[in-house]
Amino acid sequence: MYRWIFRRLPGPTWVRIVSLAIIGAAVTWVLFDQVFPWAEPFVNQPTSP
Amino acid sequence: MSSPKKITIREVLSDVLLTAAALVLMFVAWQQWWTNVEADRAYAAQEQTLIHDWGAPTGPDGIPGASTHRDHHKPAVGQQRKVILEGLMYIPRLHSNVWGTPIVYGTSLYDLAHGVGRYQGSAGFGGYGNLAIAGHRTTHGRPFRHLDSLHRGDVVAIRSQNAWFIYALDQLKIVKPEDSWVAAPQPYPGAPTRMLTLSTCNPLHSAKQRLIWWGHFVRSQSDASTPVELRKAT
Repeated sequence: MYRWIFRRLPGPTWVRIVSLAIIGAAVTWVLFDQVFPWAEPFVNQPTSP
Repeated sequence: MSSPKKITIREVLSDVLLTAAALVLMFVAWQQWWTNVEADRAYAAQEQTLIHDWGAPTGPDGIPGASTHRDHHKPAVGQQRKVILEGLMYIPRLHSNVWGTPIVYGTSLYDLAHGVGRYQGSAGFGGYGNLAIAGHRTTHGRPFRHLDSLHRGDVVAIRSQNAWFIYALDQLKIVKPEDSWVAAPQPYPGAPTRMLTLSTCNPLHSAKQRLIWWGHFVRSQSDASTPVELRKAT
């Protein structure tokens, strides 16, 4: 899967590594900002101060 | 270009499992670390907003500022206010944790990410009945992390726009999460008519029990100058 993504990325190896890092950062941001806050009530008990 | 070797099922499976593991670890990192970073920022912004709304802080004591403690960021200009801010809490013994901590109305997960929350329907500041306030023990700024290290007689001060309300703590109790009677008016015989209940999760990193502190109303003052009880601490 990741190898497939890596193969599909254009440019020389270092450009691909940079691209992957940018994609990773973007994914992390979406997770931290949107997905995890949404998922928190399902992971924890409903009222757990 | 490297030779396009065929991607096997096994490789896909290993990637999926690794991704799942990474997601779990990232969630833990988010909850245990990042929510605190965010909450610190939100608390500071709210404190600034409140003090700004209330007018310039008074006197050289500068208590309302509290800015010496945390790295306070610029006031949240144009930031949308989605929580109801009611006041600020100061606990001298927990000086580095609960000092200018926003008190919001309500105790939803969202509310508690913005401060400590006053239970809906509980008494107002200094009011008759039971003023019940909940806060996180871990994550989201963990304002009540050290609630267990308070002592009987400790001061809890609440600042509203026009007044200060001073409470003193009486007793600590460990109860079950469903024991909501602890936040009711007159939860035990001979309870003060104007009382305070602070609650948080117990034990640390668990939601199995609630740790609560009961306290009683001591006095209020209608000027914004720093109460004597807080001067000792600073």
